[in-house]
Amino acid sequence: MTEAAHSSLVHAFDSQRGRHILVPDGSRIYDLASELALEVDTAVSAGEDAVARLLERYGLASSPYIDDVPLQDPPIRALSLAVAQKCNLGCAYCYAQGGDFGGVPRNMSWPIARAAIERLIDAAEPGQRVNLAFLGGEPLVNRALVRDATAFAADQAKARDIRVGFSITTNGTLLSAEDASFFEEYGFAVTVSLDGVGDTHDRLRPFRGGDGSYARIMARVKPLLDRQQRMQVSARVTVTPLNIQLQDMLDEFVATGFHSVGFSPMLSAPMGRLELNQPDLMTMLEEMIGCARKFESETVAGRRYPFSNMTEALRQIHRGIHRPYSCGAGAGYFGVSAEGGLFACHRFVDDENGRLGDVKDGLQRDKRNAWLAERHVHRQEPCSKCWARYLCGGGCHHEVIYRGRPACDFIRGWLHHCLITYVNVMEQRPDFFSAERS
Amino acid sequence: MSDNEISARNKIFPRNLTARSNSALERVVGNPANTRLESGVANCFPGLEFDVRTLDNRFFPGLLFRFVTKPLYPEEGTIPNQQGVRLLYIDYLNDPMLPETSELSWVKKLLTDYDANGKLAQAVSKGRWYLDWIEQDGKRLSMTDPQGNYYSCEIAWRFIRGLSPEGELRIGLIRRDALDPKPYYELVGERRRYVNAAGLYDLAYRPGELTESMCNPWSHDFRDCACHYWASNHPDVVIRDVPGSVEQAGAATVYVDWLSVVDRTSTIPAAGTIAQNRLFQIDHYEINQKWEKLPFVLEGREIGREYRPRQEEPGQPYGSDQELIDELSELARMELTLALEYLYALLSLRDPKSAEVRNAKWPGLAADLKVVRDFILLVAVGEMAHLRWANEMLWELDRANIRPNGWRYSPIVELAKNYPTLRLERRLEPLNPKTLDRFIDLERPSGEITRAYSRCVATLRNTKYPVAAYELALRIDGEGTDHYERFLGIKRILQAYGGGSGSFPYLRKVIRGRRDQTECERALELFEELRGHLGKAYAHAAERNSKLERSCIDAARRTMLMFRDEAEDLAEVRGIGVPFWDD
Repeated sequence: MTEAAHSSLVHAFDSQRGRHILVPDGSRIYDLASELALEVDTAVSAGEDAVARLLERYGLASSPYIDDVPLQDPPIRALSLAVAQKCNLGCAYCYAQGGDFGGVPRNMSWPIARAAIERLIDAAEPGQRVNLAFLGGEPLVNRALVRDATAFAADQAKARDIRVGFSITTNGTLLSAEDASFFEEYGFAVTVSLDGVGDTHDRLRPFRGGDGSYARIMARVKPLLDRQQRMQVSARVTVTPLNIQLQDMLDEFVATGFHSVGFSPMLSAPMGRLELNQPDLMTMLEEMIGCARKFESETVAGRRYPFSNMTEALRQIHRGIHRPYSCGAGAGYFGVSAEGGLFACHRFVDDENGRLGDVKDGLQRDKRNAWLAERHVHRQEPCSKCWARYLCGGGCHHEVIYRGRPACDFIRGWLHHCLITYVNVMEQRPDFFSAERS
Repeated sequence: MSDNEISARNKIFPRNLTARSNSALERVVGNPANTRLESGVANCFPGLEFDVRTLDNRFFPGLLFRFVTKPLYPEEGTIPNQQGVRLLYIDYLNDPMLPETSELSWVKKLLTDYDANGKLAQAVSKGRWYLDWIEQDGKRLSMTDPQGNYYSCEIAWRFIRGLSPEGELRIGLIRRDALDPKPYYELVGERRRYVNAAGLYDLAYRPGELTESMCNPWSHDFRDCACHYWASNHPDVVIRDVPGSVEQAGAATVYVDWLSVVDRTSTIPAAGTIAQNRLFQIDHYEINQKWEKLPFVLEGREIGREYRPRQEEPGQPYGSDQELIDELSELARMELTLALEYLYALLSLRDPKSAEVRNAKWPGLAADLKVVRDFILLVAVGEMAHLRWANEMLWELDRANIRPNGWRYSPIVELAKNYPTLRLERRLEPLNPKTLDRFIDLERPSGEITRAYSRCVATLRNTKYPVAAYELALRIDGEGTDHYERFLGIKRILQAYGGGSGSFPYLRKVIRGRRDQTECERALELFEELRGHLGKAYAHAAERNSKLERSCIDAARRTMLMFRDEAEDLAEVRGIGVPFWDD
């Protein structure tokens, strides 16, 4: 993945099948006959004008898929409720700073949850889909509210012919058999935070008293894993320098029966503890590519291997997702704090930089539109010079604001490998994409 | 496009979905999306959206054939034996199956044969050439039956349809109209694959080619297939074109089933269900026999005479921003004033529910009056929509900082004193034939209003102006002839009611009031209130405050209804027309 020269207009890569190019504008992927490969390389070395002329000649130039105009007043499509801003674990790197986001630990009240849900449902038209997520802290500390809010949202949505999806992110220590039935009934996407197998996890995610939590979590997750009909239970690993060996972990969690397993790098922690530095990120990239190779061989052999970083990337690459934002934060998605503040996302809860309104009075339109204008990828540097800008969207806003962009090489390296995997999988298992599309 | 470019483009294969759709946009312009195999009618009746036989016109690389049928009723002296698969011409330069760089021996050979100086090209430039036989896997199918008679095109087409896309294909070409021994060529190639791996048609098909033989007989398959689905360009109901006939004037308002009967004067209104209409519809075999009796339909109306499309005179852009803004402001005032002229005319018509109309000696009067009033109201409402759009264009200009000489948008809801653009005076007149002619003239498609808007379009096309303003101008300009035709329809209807004595049974006895007259006070107050609400609504809209805008529009609607009741009362009970202005 070392290239002599880069272009923001085209990115070349080689698969088993030959040479390909990604045209970032529209995230279009083309196969090239081998005799054109040199032309592309020459143009990239000669600079952007030469690349533009080449695309013109190939008939691949088009009016830009994404212009400079920021989104304005998009409707709310998803909310996450910080139902309990407290937690029974003491993870060193927690963005919520032990669940209380740096403030006094507290629970969300019913009137706040209700107002948030009404705001979400009111913004949707019949037939549309919205999502309600429960986060914390540890949301199951406030289990009663999770249940009431879910039932209420389902009723409201049904009356308006709106489809509502539910999700919850939990540390897994408080899960019960009743929770399994409840999540199954409402078809929850349950994400369990796990940072490794056994001791590795225990070191990173101990109880506040210092005891390990892994054994207890796995015992409590087991009944959920056995009952995944409507519900889907996924594992999510926050990668720090202490748990960077990913391949065995992935195998273990896949074998345990998780619906999917995903990794995300720890890039910005409130106290800076356990953040990944540059060499760490390169190590992680190697590990991720190792996981990707396993994914490819399993998938080509026709076996399910739910490595969600890859499955999600392939789905997006296949559709040619091109986006001016990295995520829906502040656009279709907001995090609701225990007091009812509307924040750009769950990571901004109780952070004045990300406060864009509250559930009672709604969004502060100017502030929110200013946020969207500010966060547009065309306003980010050095994104305009990067071929991956419309696949990446400029990176997590929270991380960018608080740590900058330390992970660009990591993201490009990962996406480069995803592109190769995409072509390889498509050549050998095109059915993978027909299933993904449905 | 240079050869270099074509050659490069044929070496690039779109892989993911955005790349494919981009190529589709680029390359199949002209063959509409519904000609793609996967987008056939609900995917249940593939092929019915277009004539699949056209695919086989290019079954052999580099050649274009036509499947020719035998004439049912041949004219005397018609050339015999025309049916079959006729070679139209060689068309190989852009055929993706025949790249000049190919190493395949059959491609090289065909390129030599097809070259303009080649023997084959020279030979087929004279006389009528036909496909004589096809051969694949050692099996040869002749285009003549064992007795030596030429097969019809349908049978020949079935043979070709049955060819495998795999393997070598040999064909024989013969010149039928020559003396024996007839000139004869044998070619070797492969059958064309009609779509590529991405599902896109082979690039050999020219834009529009796949729909070119679509015609009504084809569509009877829809009924045969029991799907009751008509291709999107087939109307269900239409307004009949019944020229001249006074008795049929009301027909201008009745929607009839397009398939109802071949007698085009019938005006039985279409019923609400398929079953009810079915009784009166021609059968599918009749569609084949009488298809040419089903007229073309444009804008919901049957076209009985030669259709003359609107003359698209390119408008002359206005000289400056100021001139554009002045003109738009003028147009806004004119639209409102015209709406009032029409409203005044509407109120001069008798109430179809009144006793004197119901008891009149004209049995159709009540129904006709209802239609005419509805028509005028629709036109007046149209003018009000234009008033809004003219305002909207202005506030869009303001928002885009087009502010010559410090101009800023403020709502325009005043009346025009006269119509400088039209070089006409404003008038409040009852709807007598003279007034009607004036309205027809005002709304004439080639008239001054159209010209003014086409100038706005030409001006706003410049990208320095906001695209929203341009689109609004286009929309008004593209609204076509609706108002004009409605007034023509009204004229046809009202012609039945003579008026030899100068009085017309459809008119109320109404005299225009004076603005200082007590009886007119309430109506005028309501009208002023209405303008107030509209002005506020536009001001809020300009500030993007849609909530307040909506509430002002709602208020305007409520006021309008009250105004209408008051004005109807004034006309019906007191015989007074609302004096929107004094002369």
